[in-house]
Amino acid sequence: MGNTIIKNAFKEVRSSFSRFLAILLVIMIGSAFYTGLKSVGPDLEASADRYFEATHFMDFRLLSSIGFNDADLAAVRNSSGVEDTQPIYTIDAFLSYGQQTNVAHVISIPDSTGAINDLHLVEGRLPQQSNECIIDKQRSEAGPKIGDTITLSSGTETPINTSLSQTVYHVVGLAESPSYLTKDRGITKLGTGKINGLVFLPAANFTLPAYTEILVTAAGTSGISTFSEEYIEITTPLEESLNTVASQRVEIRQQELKADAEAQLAAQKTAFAAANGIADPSLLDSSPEFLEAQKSINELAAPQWHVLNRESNSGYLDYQNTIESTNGIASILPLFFFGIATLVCLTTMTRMVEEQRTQIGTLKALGYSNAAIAFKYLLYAATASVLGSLLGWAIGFMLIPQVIFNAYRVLYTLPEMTPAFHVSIAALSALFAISVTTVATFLSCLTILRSAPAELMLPSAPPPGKRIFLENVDFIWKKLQFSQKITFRNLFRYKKRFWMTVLGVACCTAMLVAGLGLRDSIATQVAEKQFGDIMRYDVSLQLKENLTMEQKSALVTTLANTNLSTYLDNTVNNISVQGSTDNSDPIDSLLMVPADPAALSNYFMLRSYDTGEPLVLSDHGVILTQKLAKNLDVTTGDTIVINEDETTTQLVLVEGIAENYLQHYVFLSPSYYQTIYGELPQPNQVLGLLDSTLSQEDLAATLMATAGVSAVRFTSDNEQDFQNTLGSINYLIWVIIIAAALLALVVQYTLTTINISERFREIATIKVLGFYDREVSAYITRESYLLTLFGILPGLIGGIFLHGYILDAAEVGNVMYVESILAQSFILSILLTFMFTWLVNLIMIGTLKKINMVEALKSNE
Amino acid sequence: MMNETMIEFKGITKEYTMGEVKIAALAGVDFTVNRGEFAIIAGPSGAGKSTILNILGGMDSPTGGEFTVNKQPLHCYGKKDLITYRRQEVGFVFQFYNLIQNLTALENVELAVEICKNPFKPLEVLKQVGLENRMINFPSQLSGGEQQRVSIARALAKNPTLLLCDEPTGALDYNTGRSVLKLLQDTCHRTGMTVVLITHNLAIAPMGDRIIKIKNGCVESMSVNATPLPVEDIAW
Ligand SMILES: Nc1ncnc2c1ncn2[C@@H]1O[C@H](COP(=O)(O)OP(=O)(O)O)[C@@H](O)[C@H]1O
Ligand SMILES: [Mg+2]
Repeated sequence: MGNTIIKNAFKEVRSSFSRFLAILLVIMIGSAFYTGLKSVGPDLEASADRYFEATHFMDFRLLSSIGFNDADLAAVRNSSGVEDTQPIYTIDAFLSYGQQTNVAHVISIPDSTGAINDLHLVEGRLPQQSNECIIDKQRSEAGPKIGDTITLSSGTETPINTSLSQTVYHVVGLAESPSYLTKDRGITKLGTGKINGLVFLPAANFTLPAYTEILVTAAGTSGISTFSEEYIEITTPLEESLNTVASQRVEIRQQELKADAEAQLAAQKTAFAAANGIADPSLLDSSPEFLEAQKSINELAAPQWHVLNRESNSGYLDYQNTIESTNGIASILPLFFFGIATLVCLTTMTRMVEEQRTQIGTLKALGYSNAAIAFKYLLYAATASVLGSLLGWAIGFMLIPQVIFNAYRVLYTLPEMTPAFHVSIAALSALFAISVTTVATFLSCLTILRSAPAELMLPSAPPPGKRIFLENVDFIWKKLQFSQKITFRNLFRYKKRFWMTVLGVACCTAMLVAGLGLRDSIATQVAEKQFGDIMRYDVSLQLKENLTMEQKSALVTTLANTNLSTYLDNTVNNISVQGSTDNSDPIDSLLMVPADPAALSNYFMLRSYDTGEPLVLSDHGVILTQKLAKNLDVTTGDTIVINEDETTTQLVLVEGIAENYLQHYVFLSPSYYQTIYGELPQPNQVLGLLDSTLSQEDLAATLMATAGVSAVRFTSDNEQDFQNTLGSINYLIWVIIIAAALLALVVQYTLTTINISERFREIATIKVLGFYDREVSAYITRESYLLTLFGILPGLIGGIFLHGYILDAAEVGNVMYVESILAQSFILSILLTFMFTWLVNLIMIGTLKKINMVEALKSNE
Repeated sequence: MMNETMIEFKGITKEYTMGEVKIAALAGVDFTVNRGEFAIIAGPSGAGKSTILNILGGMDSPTGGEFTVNKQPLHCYGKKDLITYRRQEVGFVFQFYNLIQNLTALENVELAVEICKNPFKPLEVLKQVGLENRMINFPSQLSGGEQQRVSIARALAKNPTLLLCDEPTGALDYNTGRSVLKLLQDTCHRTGMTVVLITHNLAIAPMGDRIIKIKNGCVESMSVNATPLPVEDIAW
């Protein structure tokens, strides 16, 4: 390849800069979008991996119904594949600070740093004295700061000093824990059933007889991503061996418990015998009370151990779901962009080669090989795509993940993310970009390179005119004005341009529909349906445990005097739910028992997810919400398992599946509750409807001042929280919409400029005939608008499919998205597409004005 | 009527600036053409003939000088006025026909008359140029001579005051060229339309009512020919 060819290629860049720029831009947008979306997932994974590595996040967490002793610990430590173990104590307790009292999860801090689940200290220091504690940062936002004092109490008949040596603590530090990636702190048997905060104390403060949990890390996982297959491969055998240890230890502990009980019983008998002057204590064996005792010893159930992996941690699972969801959105869309890039490249290069046919003919005649001639165009296209890729990488790797990550940080407690360059993603995007341009260029050169030089010296015959099918449809064709006939003839004459433009416009509309539709499905409609149609109550009051009669009547009086027009007593409990057949992971849900099921529909609309029919609670089954049923893979008539805490379970029948979008719920009637739990539910919540006028703050103050009310929550605040959370997904959607818009502009610009350059002579001719500038532009833009119109329809349809596909991949966790796209999004997509056409036409009008008739008509093409 | 001045060029200059260099395509051109004349502008290639015609047709503006067509001072006209002038008063015939490929012969003519005030009926004009049988054909289905006839019909149908032809026979064979010249001459004499025709071929000059010879951007000579020859009597 002579220097001449290379110089020639770079000269071409200068002389046809706008074309070069078009290729460069589409490739840049394509690469930025591809690398950006593709690297969000890995970047999220990497920052979690770094965090987990730094804090030594546990791989397994063991729970036991009777706690663990040192022998248990030793057995766990000695099982194969264990790297380290850490016994910890935890209790749930009421935390009082000023007027606030709610439930906290109290966790022991290991004596040495660098232990499993090390705290990530955000502010302050670690406790040095026995009356010092750390609380989690999130809890501190609502109350105690460093230097404040908190009091812990048991909230049950057992005093707290059976588990803790002290009850009053000074807060000396704020921390985050890798076990709690999200705001969710888990469930408890105390209070409202929801844990509000975390308290970390030195292990020495705990006076419990046994460890509550054993944390385990797996050997050989350092440097391995927790989200990888390898991680699963390493930890699965360990999970098995831990389960084996569990079953062995459970057996041993049961024998020990029996032996202890037997020994105790024997001692009691001996004491009883001595006290009553009975010579042989074995004579007491047949006495009824000792018989009863012996029977209960014989029937003593085995303790239960639970081996929980990382995915059982709700924060971890949530984060993993978010990554999957992001990857879902990133899966197909970027390829779309490269598809469009191919189109732009193909049209541009074809035009360029066509324009230079005489030059190519000359080079051929001079004896340049086909390869050398094609090389010039390949070099041109490759230069554009390499530059475009480099710029795209910069935006893709630096900007896009950062924007999205910052949005996600509202939801997750994670340290800073450092943007990373992912070689494989970069390589793949470059591969796409370069193959797109070179294949397109190669195809463009093909016919010309096959022709003989002599043929190329002659101008290429313009495509001959042809009648179009529409001309046979008399009743349409006859009605058209002359100029409309010309427009139609021209549209169908340039078949390639017709299809390219229609396809390009269709792709852009499809992406706009998908992007705007995602916003509808994920943000707008979910909020509307959930907070408008389904959750109809305006306020919920959380009640304290075990209300006295006076407190109850005071509450009734207050409710009657405030402008709560009507209200409903309800019992809400945090539970987890599992399918009854397989050993699926438990899913956190809310158990709802309305005191008056007939009135429920005014507060919480239960209607069938598919038919929309209202659902009624019966006395022998439960109603699940849609997404919970989907995740459990159950339908009406199946049974599910309800776990009230990590160790007690109930089997229930699914009688209906209700439409719902946020949070999982299981609804039961009070009588069914009584059937399965043997007692009537204690209402701990009041759902109310407001008839406005009074301000929410005043109402909240009145209600909070009422004895027995522990919290007041307005549905409008819930909706606001939800909107804030969705801010994050909105960022992602905006990235898509902006990229789609940019691409739409470039595509339309390219196709229109090429259209004009191909029809230079025709335009000059009509100018000579005396068409005014606006008539000349109408002649051309009429075609653009029509082509846009033709492209929009398939675009809208394509958009619906694209949207459905992405939504399916993005919907994870306890959120359910609304499948439909709002009419306004379709309208907006259409308007935007037309606006891009209009904008490009506006630029083109300038170009048209500048066309020099004399030059254009001088020679024979 | 023959003595009424139709075109008057006074000291028309045209310069092209190419980087540093200035090329004078026209270095002061003076001539007149009377209404209804068949004027022939002849000269060697590069003399500046096309430049004159382009200025005359309102497609290009002179650098200096004054000129009037049909008493209109065109050198004073703005861009839009020049378009109106082209639209209403000028018909062009080019060497390479410049027909719109995607329109049939008839439609090409229709496109031109769409925007005119008093056009002739396209069908009739096509009949006059002898193409009544080829009206529904596309340019690619017509021979060069036929295409040039369509292009002439397109120009005539506008009912222009001025018909400008730039080497109309340049791309045609001898006989076809002659028949096209005949059509133009006959039209001129029959309708009284003023025709200005450019050629590098001096042999056809005797068929004009007025002969203007151009050389190096200047008028070398201008003569009125009282006895123009019919095309049939000219050979080259
Ligand atoms: N756009 C232009 N830029 C520079 N020079 C031009 C341009 N158009 C014409 N010329 C020059 O002006 C002169 C006259 O050209 P033209 O009127 O086309 O000649 P003719 O039609 O007599 O062959 C020529 O020397 C030509 O090179
Ligand atoms: Mg010329």
